[in-house]
Amino acid sequence: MNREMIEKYFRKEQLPHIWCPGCGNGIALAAIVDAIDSSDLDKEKICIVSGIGCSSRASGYLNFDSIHTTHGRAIAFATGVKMANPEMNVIVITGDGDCTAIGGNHLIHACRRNIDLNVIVFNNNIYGMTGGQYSPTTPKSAKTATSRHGTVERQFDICDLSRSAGATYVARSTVYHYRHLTDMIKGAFKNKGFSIVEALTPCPVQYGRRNKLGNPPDIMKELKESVSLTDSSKIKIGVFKNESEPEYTSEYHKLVEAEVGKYE
Amino acid sequence: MSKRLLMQGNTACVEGALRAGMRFFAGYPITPSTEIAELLSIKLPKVNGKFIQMEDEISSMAAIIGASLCGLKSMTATSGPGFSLKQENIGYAAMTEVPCVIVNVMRGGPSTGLPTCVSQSDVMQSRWGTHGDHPIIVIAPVTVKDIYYMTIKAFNYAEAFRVPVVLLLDEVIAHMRECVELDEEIQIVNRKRPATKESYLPYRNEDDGVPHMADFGMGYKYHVTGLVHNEKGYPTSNPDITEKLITRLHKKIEDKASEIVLFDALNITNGGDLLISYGSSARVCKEIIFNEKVRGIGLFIPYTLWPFPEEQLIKLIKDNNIRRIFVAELNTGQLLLEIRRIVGNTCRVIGINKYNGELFTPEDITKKIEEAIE
Amino acid sequence: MSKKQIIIGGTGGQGIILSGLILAEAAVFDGKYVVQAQNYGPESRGGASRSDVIISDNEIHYPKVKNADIFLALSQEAYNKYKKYIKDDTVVILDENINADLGNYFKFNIIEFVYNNLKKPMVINIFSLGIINGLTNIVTNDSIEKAIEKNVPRGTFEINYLAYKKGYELAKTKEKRW
Repeated sequence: MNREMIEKYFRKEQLPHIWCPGCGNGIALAAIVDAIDSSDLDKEKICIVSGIGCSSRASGYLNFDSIHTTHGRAIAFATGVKMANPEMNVIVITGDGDCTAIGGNHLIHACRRNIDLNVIVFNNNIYGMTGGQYSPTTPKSAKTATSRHGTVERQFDICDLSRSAGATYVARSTVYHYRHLTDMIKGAFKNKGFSIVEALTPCPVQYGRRNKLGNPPDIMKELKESVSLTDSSKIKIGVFKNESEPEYTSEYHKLVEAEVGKYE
Repeated sequence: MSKRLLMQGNTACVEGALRAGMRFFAGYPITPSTEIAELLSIKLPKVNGKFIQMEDEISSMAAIIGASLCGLKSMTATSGPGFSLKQENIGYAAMTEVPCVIVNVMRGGPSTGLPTCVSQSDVMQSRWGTHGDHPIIVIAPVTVKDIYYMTIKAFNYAEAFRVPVVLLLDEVIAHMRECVELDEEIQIVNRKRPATKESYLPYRNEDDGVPHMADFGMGYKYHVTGLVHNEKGYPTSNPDITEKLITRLHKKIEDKASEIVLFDALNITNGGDLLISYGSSARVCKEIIFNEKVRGIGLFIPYTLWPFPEEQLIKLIKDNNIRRIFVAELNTGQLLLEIRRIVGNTCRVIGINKYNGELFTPEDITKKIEEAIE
Repeated sequence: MSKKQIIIGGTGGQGIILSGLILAEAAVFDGKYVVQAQNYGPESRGGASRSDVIISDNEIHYPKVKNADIFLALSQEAYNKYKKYIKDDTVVILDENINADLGNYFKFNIIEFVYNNLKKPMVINIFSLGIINGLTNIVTNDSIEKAIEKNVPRGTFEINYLAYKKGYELAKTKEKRW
């Protein structure tokens, strides 16, 4: 990331970040910042909300109003922020465990409401901060700290899940495809409704090491090759849904407009 | 508004909250608190406020914290099982010093317990329900009129001290209707906001231990975290900063306890016995001391269960040579423990307890008192 | 009157709580101290439910009825469950179909009368209020009219007030005992 972006948007005293060498979270965060910079969002009215986990430390690094909340609850806090002040541009930074395990219920209901939140999930398929336990997106058979012989659980597809639950903008990219990821996030900002971007990102320390995936550049290369915009035998990246539907806070505002002043 | 009205307890809570300036409510349906959510879904839009029914109790608590950070006075309402779920984020509100009010209409427990029956068994949970050392204020009204004024008080305390305030109702007083006259003058307190963006420190120790709070969206761009944090709001594990923070969180309430505590002392006689009771149980005790004229017994009603009017009780015991105390509550003996701690060896403290889902009858209490006297 | 305690018992869904509320509100209009409380189960419909109203010239502390001065039951289940509140001089009002095993009582064909003459089962609760007040005059007619108007669903005041008057008239056919 260029120095200008760091000067403009980061809380420099909070750097360096806590992420491990080879982690992709920094790239994902840079993509968010690039997307913010090139968007027409009012920079004074951006709120970053995160949960708990490696990715969720991102809220402390960015110089906006920011809330580092409890585990899984970022979307629920963000719902309160957005409803209380619909002028806020609310960006939720979360991880796969935070968003789809402990926070899964909040995710699907925010999708259902189509509330105007921008959720960026840093999906590294593992609980990194607690030492590498399997998450809802850990691939079957992968070895983790709590599945030494390979996990027997099946994994969530975050994009399918969100689309089915009613999100109106759904996209996936990877931290290897930096430009593409930035575009996906920009698309999320443009949608007036619930937007989710799944950013696939490597965790060499907790995931790669146990599954013998090699050094960080090898893992990054593997990530690049495992996805495709077109090849259906690979993990698809791109925009899976982008539809305009009534947004929650706007709909609620109509109710308020009709009722306001009628208090007895 | 000095007209006499018939008002339900839950309605009084709603009217008090709106009068206090509450403009954001998030909740989840649960008996016996649901009337609060239902009424607010109708009334909040009329005052340009917001109501949302969340997917669960956890998210309701989270949403009111988010809304409060944007400057709206916020509230949620629940009962036992939902109160358990809210504990996680009540701790978050205590740590991040986000003003909010949590109404818990107590019903029988544990677990799903007795959903439509009265109980007072969440007293300890209201103080210690969330993990970690934390400050909290807990208020337990007795009458429908109390509920109205003490809901306003709850918001005033939440705003003044930047602390979660639990309004502890029970099924009887929440559901009963009573004639009320709402004619007292009230005072509305709002959180102190910073005067200027220059050198704003969101967690600076002001004179009274309560940092000034900026609304999100006003350009202050500050960080809020449930981790131990420094004055700037950034995470730290520095032992000195940690200790200072936890100390300040407690002292901002402890130092003002004498201004916060609310209580009544009725019919106290020198050398007599003392009944201590709160919520709906205190109504039964009032019946005994005013209408059944049981001799030589006074009544102490703590409205703030935390902070407890500790010094005031000790003084009353000393000034009146009280030797025996009865603590009447609808649980197996929760406030009883606190009273025993406070009075130590100075008095005999006897619990009068009922936990079958029904309110005390006056006889339940007088019988226990007579037994003890014999 | 210093203090009067009233129990209205019936089946969940019969509007028992509402009738207690209306009686209580009427007493407030009369300038009395009033408490109305309720006992109910988990059912929205069915099950015994009861509404307690206490009307007094002085402040009321204990919010439940200890001994009923007036006791009305619309179902056998409610009668059985709450009859323990009946004392010697309680005015007991029962639907014709209830088998009573305690002392003096007034029986009225409440449910049948409402079905046959008013054709609106939903007004059973207000009809019952008419009977209560016809026998006891516990609240003024003006106040109860105001209370009905304030609390019944919009557009149903006429039928409800008619039900009240019919109940009141029916009660006047029986011996006055207040």
